[in-house]
Amino acid sequence: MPSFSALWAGIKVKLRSWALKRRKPARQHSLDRRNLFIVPSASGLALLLVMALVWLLGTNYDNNLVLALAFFMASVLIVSILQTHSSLSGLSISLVKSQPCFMRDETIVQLRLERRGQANYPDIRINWLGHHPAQFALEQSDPLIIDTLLTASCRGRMTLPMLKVESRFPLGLVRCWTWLRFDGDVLVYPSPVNAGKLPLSTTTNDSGQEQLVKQTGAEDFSGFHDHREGESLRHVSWKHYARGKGMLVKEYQAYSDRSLWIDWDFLPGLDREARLQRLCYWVLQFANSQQPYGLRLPGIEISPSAEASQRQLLLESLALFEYQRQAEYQVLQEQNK
Amino acid sequence: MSLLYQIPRQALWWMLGAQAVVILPHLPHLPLWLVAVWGGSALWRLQISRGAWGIPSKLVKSIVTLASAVGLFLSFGRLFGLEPLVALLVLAFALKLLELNQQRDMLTLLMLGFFVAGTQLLFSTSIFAFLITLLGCWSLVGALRALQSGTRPSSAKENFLGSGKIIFQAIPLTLLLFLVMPRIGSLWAVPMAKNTGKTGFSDFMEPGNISNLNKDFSPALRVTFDNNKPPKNSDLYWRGMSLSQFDGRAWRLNNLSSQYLPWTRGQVELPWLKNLERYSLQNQDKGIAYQVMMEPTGHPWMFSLKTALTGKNDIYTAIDYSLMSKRNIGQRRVYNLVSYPEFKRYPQRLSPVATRNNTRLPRNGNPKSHALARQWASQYPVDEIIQRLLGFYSEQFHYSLQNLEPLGTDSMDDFLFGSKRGYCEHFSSSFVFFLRAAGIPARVVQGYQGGQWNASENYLLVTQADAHAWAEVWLEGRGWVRYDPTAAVAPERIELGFREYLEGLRGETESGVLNQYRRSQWINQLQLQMDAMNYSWQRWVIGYDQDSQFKLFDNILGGNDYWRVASFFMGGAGSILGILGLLFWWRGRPKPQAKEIQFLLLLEAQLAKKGESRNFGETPKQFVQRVGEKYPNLAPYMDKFIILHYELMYQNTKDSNREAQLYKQLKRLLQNIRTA
Repeated sequence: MPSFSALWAGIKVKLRSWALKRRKPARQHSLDRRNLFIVPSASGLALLLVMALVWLLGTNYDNNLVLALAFFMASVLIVSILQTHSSLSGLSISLVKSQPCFMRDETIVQLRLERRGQANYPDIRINWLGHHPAQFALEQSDPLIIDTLLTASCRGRMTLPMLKVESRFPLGLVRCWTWLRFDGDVLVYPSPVNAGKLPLSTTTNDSGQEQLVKQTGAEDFSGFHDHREGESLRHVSWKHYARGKGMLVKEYQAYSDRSLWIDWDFLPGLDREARLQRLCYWVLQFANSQQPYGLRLPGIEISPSAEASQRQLLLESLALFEYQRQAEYQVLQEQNK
Repeated sequence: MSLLYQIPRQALWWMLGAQAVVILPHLPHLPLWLVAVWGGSALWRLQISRGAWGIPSKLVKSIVTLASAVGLFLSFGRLFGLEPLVALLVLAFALKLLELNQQRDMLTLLMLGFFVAGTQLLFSTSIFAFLITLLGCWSLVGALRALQSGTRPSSAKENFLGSGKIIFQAIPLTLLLFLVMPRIGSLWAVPMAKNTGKTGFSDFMEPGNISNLNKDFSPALRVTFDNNKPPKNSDLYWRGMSLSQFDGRAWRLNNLSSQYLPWTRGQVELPWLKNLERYSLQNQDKGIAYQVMMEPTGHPWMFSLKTALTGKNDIYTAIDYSLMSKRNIGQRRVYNLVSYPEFKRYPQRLSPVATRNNTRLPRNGNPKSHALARQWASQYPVDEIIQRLLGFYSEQFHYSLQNLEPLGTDSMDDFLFGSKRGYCEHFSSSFVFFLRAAGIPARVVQGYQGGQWNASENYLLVTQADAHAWAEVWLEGRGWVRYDPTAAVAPERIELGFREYLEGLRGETESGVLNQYRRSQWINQLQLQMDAMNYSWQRWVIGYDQDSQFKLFDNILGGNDYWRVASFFMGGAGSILGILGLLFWWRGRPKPQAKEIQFLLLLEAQLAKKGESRNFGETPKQFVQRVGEKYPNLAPYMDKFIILHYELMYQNTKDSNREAQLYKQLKRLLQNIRTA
């Protein structure tokens, strides 16, 4: 029944956006009757069905004890509503921190579970919208810091999606849950895409003079590359050619300025995201070398440095370059797909 | 399959325990091999969970299922009927173990378990059966709980207590629902259990079928009188049905068409019932109100003192004023009646059809009786004939329970002029025969006579052994009048009741066979007490029907209007849930904060009014510094406050004077901040 499931998905999105509007983003949420939803789960509905059958049995046989059993089943369901509610109520959840990550990778968001009173919380199922739930218990150790997994779905400062907190304790007949919004975000870098070697390029230094980064014919032999059409035959390694290894060209490099520039203009013809992904790849490449490296983006220039913080700085500027904060309902729809 | 959907080992054990508690009470009406099938499935499932055996293949499962179903058919010889259907259910309940792979299967099994537990109560409604069912529910709830054990499996004890808590919390609400929920009666006909329609009367009487009942001391009726006082024993004639057709040996119901027709056509105005209703309105003080709890008989007849009026429309009053239920009574039944002993039944005239029906005899046989009757009829008036006949019985006849000589083809002649020893059925039968032969309308009535009064619980216990037969004679001006020839022969049988009568026979010649009935006093007492308890259970719990429900509403709510009941229910449920809610709130109530922190919270509350709140990860000191930049007038107070606060928090002073001093200062500072 595709139409039904489509309808149901539509209703779900509507309901969630409604819940979303009702929730104010905050660093900390306390769960209580104002924000907990509660409905019978599938097994609760099954119990209701069996209860109806037992009731039919009782009334058809005029048997009060069988009727009492039906009433008992109903009462168990009702009592477990209270029980399940109390297995989330009084819990407070706060955002501790999130780690930056690459687009489409999973990052860890740390949450802190704390209880207001003495009650135990043996079954807490937590997941970010669109993710699988993980189960936690808050019993002796209080507060509890938990790691939750979140897949980065957009570059930049990704707004945290809604967090679902659910419990079915003690009988699983009733589902008590809530959707929470946290006032926080995750820094998402572009996902690196292999772009090969940094191309030969003239770059502009601070003084504005054109400068050859790579100079052919310099002293230092640095390696080979495949012969490209139209390239001079002067540096072709004929020894390799004679051994049947193909036309390799000997490279000689001399860095007049030994710092490297990772430049937006290296990648003409690609769109923004594709460029950023490749730039990201290079940043990661050079982060492991000892050479200073810098970044040029339209309107942004970060001068080369070999410090450890450079990687972070560059990745951050790649992440935040012309990013658009996704409206939350878009996140919602995307994750609902 | 996610870990969340697997079956924890512990839940499996709970499930098997629950199955045992639910299945074992079914043993009396199940073939024993079914238990073996369950045991086998349980073993197999356990081996699967240990990894020793594999999951049975589809073929194996089909073979086992099919073989068991065929086995059920062979064991019962039929598949329709309550026992085979329940057995089928139990079979499904057992075999489902073989495909218990996911939590969902387990849930199916548990739900089935609740239903199986319910069917057990169709066979027995005793307190014991109920307690067993409660235990079954407990273990089913335990299994449900074990299935949800969260991140770590809870111990057996924890699970037991946890599920017990849920059960006890559910009980008050269950009671309320039980009291308030309307009883709408059966919606369609259902197969009855075999063993419930047991002893009792049939729709005919022949020598021997009442005396057979006299060995059976199981209860037939239990009666409570509204004024808690039973009429005297010799008035306790519980009419069942009247028999007016005689074939020379057995007395039978008149053909149904003439006697019971009116109500079979539905709601027809019944003139005889109208008469009784009119009489009851005029003579309300002469009525005896009582409640009868009747054991199932499998027949429609209901027992009453003469002449009974019922308010229920599923009980019919037949033309002879006997009561019949719409359906055969397959369950214990409770009904309320008001009887008017002085009401005259058809006093003016008997219809020609009724006269003919109640004077008719087979043409052949019993010449001596016929001759004597004709002779008396020509000599004496009706009253005198009856008196002479009763005198004849009391002088020459003996009441005897055993060694009765078989009667020949002229059974009446043989009895009246030959053996002269007999039992109530012989006396009533010959009495009615003789009167009919003399042209007087008469009929045999079957029912119970007497009963044993339980003084502690104020009810009358009528057992099967109290079964009796007597006569009703139509007399002009008086209508149908009861005569009991047995009373003429053995008056103590009627005055004392059957059990007492047997006790009185101790040592006499007849008592030899009665040893089995004789019990030492205390066993009898114990038995009576057990019966009293059982009766209270039956009456208040099993017999709680719409009538008792309305009576209860009238008593406690002053009426049974919809709104009263609804508000009672809402109020009751509301307070039960309210109390439970409070209980949960109390358990999860906020921990009281340490005194030092309370002051900090008060400060934060103060500053919150100014729109300043402490950020995540900000120390109190950083916070007040930040606020202090904005509100320089508060800064000195706040700085001082924080210094004192830190001293309280971290300097662990043992000096209580210093502590008190600090609190005082903090309080003053708070005041300063408020006013500044």
